[in-house]
Amino acid sequence: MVETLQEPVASPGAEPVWERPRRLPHTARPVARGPRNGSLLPVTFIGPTVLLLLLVVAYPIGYSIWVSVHRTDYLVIGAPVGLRHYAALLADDVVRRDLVVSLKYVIGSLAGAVPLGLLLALLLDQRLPLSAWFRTICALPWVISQTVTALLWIWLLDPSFGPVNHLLDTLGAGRVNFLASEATALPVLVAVNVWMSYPFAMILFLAGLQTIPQEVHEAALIDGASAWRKLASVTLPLLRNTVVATCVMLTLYYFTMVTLIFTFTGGGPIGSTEVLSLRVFNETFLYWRVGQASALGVVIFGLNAVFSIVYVRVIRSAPVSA
Amino acid sequence: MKHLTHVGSWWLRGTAVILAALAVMAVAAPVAMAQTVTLRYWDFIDPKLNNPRSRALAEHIKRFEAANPTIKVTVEVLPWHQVAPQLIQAAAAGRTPDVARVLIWDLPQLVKAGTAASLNEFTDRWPASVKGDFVVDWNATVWDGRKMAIPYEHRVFVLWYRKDLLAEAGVGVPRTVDDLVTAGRALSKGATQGMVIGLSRASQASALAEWFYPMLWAGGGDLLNAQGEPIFHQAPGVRAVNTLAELVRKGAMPQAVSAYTYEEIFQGVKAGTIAMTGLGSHRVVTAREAGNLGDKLQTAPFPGYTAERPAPAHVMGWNMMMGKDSKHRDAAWKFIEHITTPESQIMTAKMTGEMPTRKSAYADPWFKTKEAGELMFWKDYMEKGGRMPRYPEKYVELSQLIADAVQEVVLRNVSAQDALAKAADRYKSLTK
Amino acid sequence: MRRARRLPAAVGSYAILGAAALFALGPLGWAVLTSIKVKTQVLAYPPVWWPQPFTLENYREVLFGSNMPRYLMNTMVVALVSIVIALVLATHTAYAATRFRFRGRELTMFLILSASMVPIISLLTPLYLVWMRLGLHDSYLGVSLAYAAWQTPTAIWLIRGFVEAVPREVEEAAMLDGCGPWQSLYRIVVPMIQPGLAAAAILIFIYIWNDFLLATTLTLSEERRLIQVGLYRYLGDLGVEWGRFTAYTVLAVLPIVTMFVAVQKRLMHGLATGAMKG
Repeated sequence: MVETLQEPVASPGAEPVWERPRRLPHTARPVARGPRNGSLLPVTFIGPTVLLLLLVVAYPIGYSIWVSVHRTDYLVIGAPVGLRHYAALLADDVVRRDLVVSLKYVIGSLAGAVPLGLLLALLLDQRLPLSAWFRTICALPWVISQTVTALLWIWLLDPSFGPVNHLLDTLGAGRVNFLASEATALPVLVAVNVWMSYPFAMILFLAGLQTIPQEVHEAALIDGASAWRKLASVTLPLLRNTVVATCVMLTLYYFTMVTLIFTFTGGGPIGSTEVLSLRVFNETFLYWRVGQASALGVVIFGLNAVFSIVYVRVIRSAPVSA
Repeated sequence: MKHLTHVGSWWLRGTAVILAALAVMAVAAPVAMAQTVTLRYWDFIDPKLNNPRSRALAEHIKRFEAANPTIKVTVEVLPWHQVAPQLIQAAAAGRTPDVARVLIWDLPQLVKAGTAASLNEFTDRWPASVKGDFVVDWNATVWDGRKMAIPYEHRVFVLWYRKDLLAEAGVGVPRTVDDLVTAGRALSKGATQGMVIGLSRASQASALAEWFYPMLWAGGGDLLNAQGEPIFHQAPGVRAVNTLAELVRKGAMPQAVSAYTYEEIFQGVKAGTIAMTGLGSHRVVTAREAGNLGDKLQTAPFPGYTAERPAPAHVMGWNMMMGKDSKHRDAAWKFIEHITTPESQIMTAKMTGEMPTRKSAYADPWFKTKEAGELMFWKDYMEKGGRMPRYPEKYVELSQLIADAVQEVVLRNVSAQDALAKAADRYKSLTK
Repeated sequence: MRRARRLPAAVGSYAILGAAALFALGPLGWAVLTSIKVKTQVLAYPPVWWPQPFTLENYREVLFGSNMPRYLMNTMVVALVSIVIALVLATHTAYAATRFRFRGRELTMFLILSASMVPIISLLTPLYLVWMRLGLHDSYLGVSLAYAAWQTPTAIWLIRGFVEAVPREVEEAAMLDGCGPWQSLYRIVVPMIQPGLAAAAILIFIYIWNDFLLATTLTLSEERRLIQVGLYRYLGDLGVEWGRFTAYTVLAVLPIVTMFVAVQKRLMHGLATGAMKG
């Protein structure tokens, strides 16, 4: 789940720092003596990072765009075909189905992980005795990999030997093969994803709660506000930015997940859990339609970029209420 | 500063020692290299494990290395359905293993993707008598005049059944698809699943694909015509899929089969929760040992539409292939040749129940013994109308399309006609 | 929320937290139990809750009968190399970004941080092709470079908060003594931002330890295989041997869980500093 922290720009504090120097003139002071040393200094500090990112991120993305407009035969790149791969994507029902599955997956997971994370963060923020223990335990799935998560749950839900089915059996509900039916496969996949990712939301909310000044809490207490009213009128509005930021980071993360789904259901039954990014993976490493896969990867990249821009707008337009 | 000089001299000394060591190795290494060749060999069987097929592979390698003291074989193990994709990746990276064991239906794709080396320079030395010694036609693994692989074993798709459970339920061994329904219903109770055919698209959808061919043949159809166009959606295919759907509808087969892969079915047989299924004959011996099943686990020809004519045997098998990037082609060939000799195959058959690919292997007296009775029965099934199809290049993808179609029939009640026609259309558009 | 200390509210809180803890630990607990069962009890219905007798046979098989220790070592090596590269790059970049003023700074930093917005899945195919072309495929260096690059923006984002927190006066005093920016960074800033470096290192470690996608794409051979790929590969030919398999899982999860429990307080602090600053 740690992968989510990949989205630094999406964090509420990340970009403004670099936009604010004019308001913090002393930031520049060390450099006030620096420039005479030569303006190459920033280049030597930042250059290597830029070079590595060009190699690992920019060049492959460029290459991907290039491959996506060429014919491919296994891993051999052939003649240019223009936008034919993109046109094929648009015309493909399977791609459309996968996009719908992706959306269901993202929305379902958000609907599970965010409220759960928020609830636990609020409970833990009370600093009850043993809170620290509960926090550690509840955060634990955060460090469990997607591969392990998938396999742990497959074993837990096993229709023949799993404890979950045994419980259902003894309750008289009868056993269910959760991964075998279209009605249950996606909900169960979402639930497993929630298990793995709610700690991330919880941790961010806890951090957010800690920035709410103590006085605000106390003022509300003196007002005689009930716990619920205080939550609704004081705490949640103050957490708004954190919640939005968390939702966005999770969305980007969920939308591009592969490993969990690949290992848990492989996309089945009848493609009911096949998300778009799993398709990219299979198109490349199972069916070897690299051109098509690159085109789809570029599309996912584009969707992500659009979403990020919308997000930055939302955060900037957020009223800073205190 | 003193400290720093100290560190410096430590570094200097260390570096000098390493350089000296490297120099010695540089001189010594070529001498040693000339003596031993190390072959990288890919297999899905882990020779370190303790089951019949693992023990057999370990024994083959041991014998090979004893006979060829200058050649070492290192085994790299990967899941069977990952062998082909990983080979294609390795070939693109210029790093194929020297030798790999590959499935017959993966070969067309592997050859097309350029992963395999032609074996002609070696097989040309073989007399016609050796080339004619193979059970399956020599040309089954020839593309454009190039021999690309040597068959290692054969197996047939058979009905697996639990003799004890059948007796308990008072039903005989099924001989027709209708018998399967009756027996499956009688056997399905509690944790026991009467009849199982896996419909999952995972693991190459092979659990379903291995069943589909013989049922198509039983109905007079096939997967593709001679031009490679799909015909599986015609009447014989529809009939086959309907018999499967009927098994589910009539309670002979659980709906959960839609998520079952080959492995899961094997696991179920081992654990005793599956009474009947269709799998390859090659795993019977292993299942008996792993599940402690003894002679409770038996096999029969897969039921067809009439009691007189079972479904024709679907003949499959693993093959030995040489990687295109092998730097030790002679040694690699020696290994391939060694592991496919009649002697080696007799040993394999005794240990694992996998059928030899060489006719002369069957001349061994062991095959006349009672112990070999089961294997000879499979061989008989193979020879009476068994077929090894020429698989298409996109066979795995086609199998997965068919798996999705059959799942639609079973889970969504879509008509077999519509579901298969859709799969055929998609296959056509993919192979255009 | 102090109010919630009233008894019923506290009981309710504990009930929910207890249920959450069970939810969080349940799957792991079941795996631990399975891993110490004998074969017949692994595949039993109704399930055997408490192993009787218990066995360490599965662990012995994983540790001595599989290549798992090798994968552990590989993952450690790759993680170490990646962490060093990422931290060195991130520290310099974060320092320059907070302390220098130069033309195009905002744009550069925006682009650097945007780099981590590019989804791995879009990079996978081209990275694979490019790495093969450059001869980086299936090498420690190749996979480490990819991880380092992928993690550097995260590390910059984290470390930046800590660099900001270093009082400028300290640095200014040093500069008056003739310290240049390099010395200032190494002698003054780096020692003061160690918690940030540690938090970044841990995050990167967790990421690499748990990654499957890059590892399976950029490595191929047994000698370079990383832990999660090894785990997936362990789903052997004979179906999943759940006893052995859960033993592998427990061994693969143990280091990361231990580390997390040991450092989580600091890690959370680091995250809060990185995330909530500015």
